[in-house]
Amino acid sequence: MRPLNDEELTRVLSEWRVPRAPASLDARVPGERGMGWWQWIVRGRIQVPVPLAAAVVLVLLIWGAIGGPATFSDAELDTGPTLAGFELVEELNPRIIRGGYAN
Amino acid sequence: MKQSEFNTVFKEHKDAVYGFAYRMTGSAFDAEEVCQDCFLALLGETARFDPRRGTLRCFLIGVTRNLVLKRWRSEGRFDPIEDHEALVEPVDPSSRETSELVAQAVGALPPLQREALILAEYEGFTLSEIAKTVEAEVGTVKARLHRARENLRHALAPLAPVAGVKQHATTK
Repeated sequence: MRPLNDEELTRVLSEWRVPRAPASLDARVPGERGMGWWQWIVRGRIQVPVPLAAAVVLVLLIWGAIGGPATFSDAELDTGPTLAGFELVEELNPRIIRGGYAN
Repeated sequence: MKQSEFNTVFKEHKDAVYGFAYRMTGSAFDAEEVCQDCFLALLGETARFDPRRGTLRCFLIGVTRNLVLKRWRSEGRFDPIEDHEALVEPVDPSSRETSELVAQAVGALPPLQREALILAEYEGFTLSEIAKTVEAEVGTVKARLHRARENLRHALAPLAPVAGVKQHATTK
């Protein structure tokens, strides 16, 4: 088969056209830098090195396995006054005790 | 670099950078990643750009080229040894569109030949600009470009009659 000559090769190569930069790139590059902090909270991205991310995950896993932060049981937390055993008074009979009758 | 200046540079060069990355990687996803990294690098490396050494476009394409090679190295896809004997298999014109066949043939070139060809044919770089971009001697770049074109002459030979018909149609 005859190889292409210079002119043919140049013409065939020019057939390869590539797409323009996608719109999603606009949001990924200058958008991040121009946004305010409140936009960054919603749309911001941070890059974390893989070793650091792996270390954080490992620490969380170990922490979870050990039991996490110290916690209190319900009994330990239940030390304040409660309404348990409280009954409403059905009949009220007031007695007046005068101070002069004492002794 | 101020935000407004950066936005202007981004708007002006994003298509060129993306196109180069797309041709080098053959992947829209990788091209977008590389393109993003290139412009983010520009924010941190504007001091490195020296207008006396070349245009901003050449600088950005050079940064993109280095990012692509970095990816290839990390993926074990880059062989720094030049393969003079590598031959690209002829394409099958019945299987795909011409554009896809060209992409396939260029993508099959050894990396150093591929980058030289892309920079010359699609980016319009001179031999001197390519040499600066790929950090090689002009003579070396010339040899790589020659081998790349020789490779493609044979690999794309099955497209010759089709190319002739298309030329005829476009010149009428």
